[in-house]
Amino acid sequence: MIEFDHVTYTYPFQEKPALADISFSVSKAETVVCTGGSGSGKSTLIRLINGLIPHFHKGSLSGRVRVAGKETVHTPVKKLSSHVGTMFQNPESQFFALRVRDELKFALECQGQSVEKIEKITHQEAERFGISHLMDNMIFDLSQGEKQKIALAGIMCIAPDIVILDEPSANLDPQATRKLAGHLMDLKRRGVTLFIVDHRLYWLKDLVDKVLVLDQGRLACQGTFGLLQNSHLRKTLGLRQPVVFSPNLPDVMGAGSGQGLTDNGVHVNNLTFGYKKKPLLFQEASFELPPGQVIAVTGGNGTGKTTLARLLTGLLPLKTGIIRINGTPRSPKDLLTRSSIVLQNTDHQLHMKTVDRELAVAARNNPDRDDTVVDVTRLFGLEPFRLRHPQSLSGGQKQRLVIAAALVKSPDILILDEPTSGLDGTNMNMIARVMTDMAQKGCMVLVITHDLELMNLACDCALSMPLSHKEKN
Amino acid sequence: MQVSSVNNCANRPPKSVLDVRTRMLVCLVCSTGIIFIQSAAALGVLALVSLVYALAHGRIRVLVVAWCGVGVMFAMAMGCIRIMLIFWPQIGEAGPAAFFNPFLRVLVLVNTIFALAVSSRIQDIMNSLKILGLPFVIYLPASVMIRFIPEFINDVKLIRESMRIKGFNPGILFVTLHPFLVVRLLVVPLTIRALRSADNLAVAAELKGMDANTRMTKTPTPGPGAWDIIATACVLVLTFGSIAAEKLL
Repeated sequence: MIEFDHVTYTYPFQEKPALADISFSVSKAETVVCTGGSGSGKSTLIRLINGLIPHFHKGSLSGRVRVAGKETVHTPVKKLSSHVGTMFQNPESQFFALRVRDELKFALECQGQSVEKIEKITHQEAERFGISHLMDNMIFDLSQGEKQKIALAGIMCIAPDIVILDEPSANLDPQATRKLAGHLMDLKRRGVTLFIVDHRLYWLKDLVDKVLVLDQGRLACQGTFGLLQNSHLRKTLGLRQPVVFSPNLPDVMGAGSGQGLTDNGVHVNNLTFGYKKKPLLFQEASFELPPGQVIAVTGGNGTGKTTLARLLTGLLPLKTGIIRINGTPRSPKDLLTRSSIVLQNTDHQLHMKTVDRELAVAARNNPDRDDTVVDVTRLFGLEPFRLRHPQSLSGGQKQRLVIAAALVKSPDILILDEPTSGLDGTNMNMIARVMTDMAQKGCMVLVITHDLELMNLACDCALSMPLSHKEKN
Repeated sequence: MQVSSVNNCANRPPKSVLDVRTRMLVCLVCSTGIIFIQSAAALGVLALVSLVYALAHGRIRVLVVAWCGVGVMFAMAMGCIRIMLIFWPQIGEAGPAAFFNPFLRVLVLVNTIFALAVSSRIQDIMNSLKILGLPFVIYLPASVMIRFIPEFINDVKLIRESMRIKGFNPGILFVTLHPFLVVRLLVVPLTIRALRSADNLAVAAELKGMDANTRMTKTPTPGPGAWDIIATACVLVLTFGSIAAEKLL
């Protein structure tokens, strides 16, 4: 179904090939996972399969790529698209409509199919993916897991032979990831060839037939899932764990130094908050967050994890309630100066012309600004990129930079929202180390995450959302 | 969280009894008509009728803010003319009367666009574009442009939030005092986000097999209702009647 024969590809204006001498094949109904460190060439491999290379991205290509029996060099993307469906890491960026029904119909309407056929196919796929009840909903009001299902159902409406999934688990909680694995298993049974690119591996154990590991543009090794059990290989190539256990973290109330008995840390009393015309997210909730610990904030989508982060950092004003740091009540303005928050999308958080400037601006109110910037630049391995434009960095490098910019403020509270989504094992370990170091220095580190590996590595306790009665006074 | 709140606007049921296509037609006819109408009286009548039309859609506070914006814009224009007159008196005296007709024209535009904006779901506008049977190369960019309005608003919110995290207060005072810094802090990331979104969507379009030769399926459309016919007749009679009356009198 997919055949790579000594494929080498170099992007325009680059000297080093992104992929070099790649040979492998994938049979019909086979499920393959491709993994590797950041910048190892996984995205390039996807683009070669779906024909974006060489038709959309030019450059120099040698060797032969055959997909569904067609040489991609001689087959336009439009023709390949009826054989290959691609799901992006962020499914939102590939939606053309706002309502679920319209999105599912869109690709079929573009193919000029009859109204009756469109109705029949969309109904069928909606049933299969269990999204019939969502058909009249607005896509952006849905959870990440539901969006993934809609993207997959949209792809399956055009009945491709091959489905490519780019980091499908990056934004999903463990429960949604399990459901996704179930849907993929179903597709596999229907004879669809699946090509999955992901850093998180634990959820693929029962699904994949073959593993491809890329390293700096070369195919380092291929084999069965058992290949990933080799810890030396994982360490050398920056891979994540193939088996991950759910962490059994103590509840934040038990992990603290007693309910309200000490003034250390962050105390939240009678917190009430809800968005306009929406039900309240928090109603008279009270809890305490101990200093010197890494606290995981867990819970499903829409339970208010990011809202809580915004409230704790003063980005949102409280409707009612008080936030105390070390016993002193703090206003939102105060909180903003004492805390740092790293939000999910790095593009919104990078403003300046160079990495150096970005860090200097973030640290401008820090009395030890120069020393801190130098230390943090070294700690995050950003020295080689000091004069680069932040937006020109890779995903992993940008993530490191926004966390570095949060750290140079020397905050009392550091909040990270899904910091390891889409990151390889090496970067994840580094972020885990930084969080632990910050906590040891007395900073309260709050991490909103679905990443079980990160929780196992760095977190001391958990705050589960929605805030239960236990946390309420 | 932000995205969903933005898109709740899209979820809000339309308050107008008119079809979105009729409201689009009202905008089109009025905006074309005011180019040709010259007399203050005719423009005044059109502005008054459009005002009643806009008020019928509720959201009066938003409408008042829009009018205030227009007022400020004209005050600034008059101020600029005053300054120009100091250095270049040859352009001649331009009192408030000279601004009256343009002001009425803008009011008509604001009123009709306001009515369309507050009473239409984004998805309805997209559906209407599809129903109009425009060529795919026009339909797709137009539809994508509308589809990205909520995302654009969300991007602005997140970038402003990021500025606040870094200790900048992106209020009017900051924008006035540091215009160049605002470009760096707000406009540059926004442009990069817009370019990235456009790139992603172009790739998604390629991968869904769309190109200039795409022929979309024609979906059956409901006919216009009684209110649509009445509204269309009114706006046509009023606009073209004003133009005709001007020519005849």
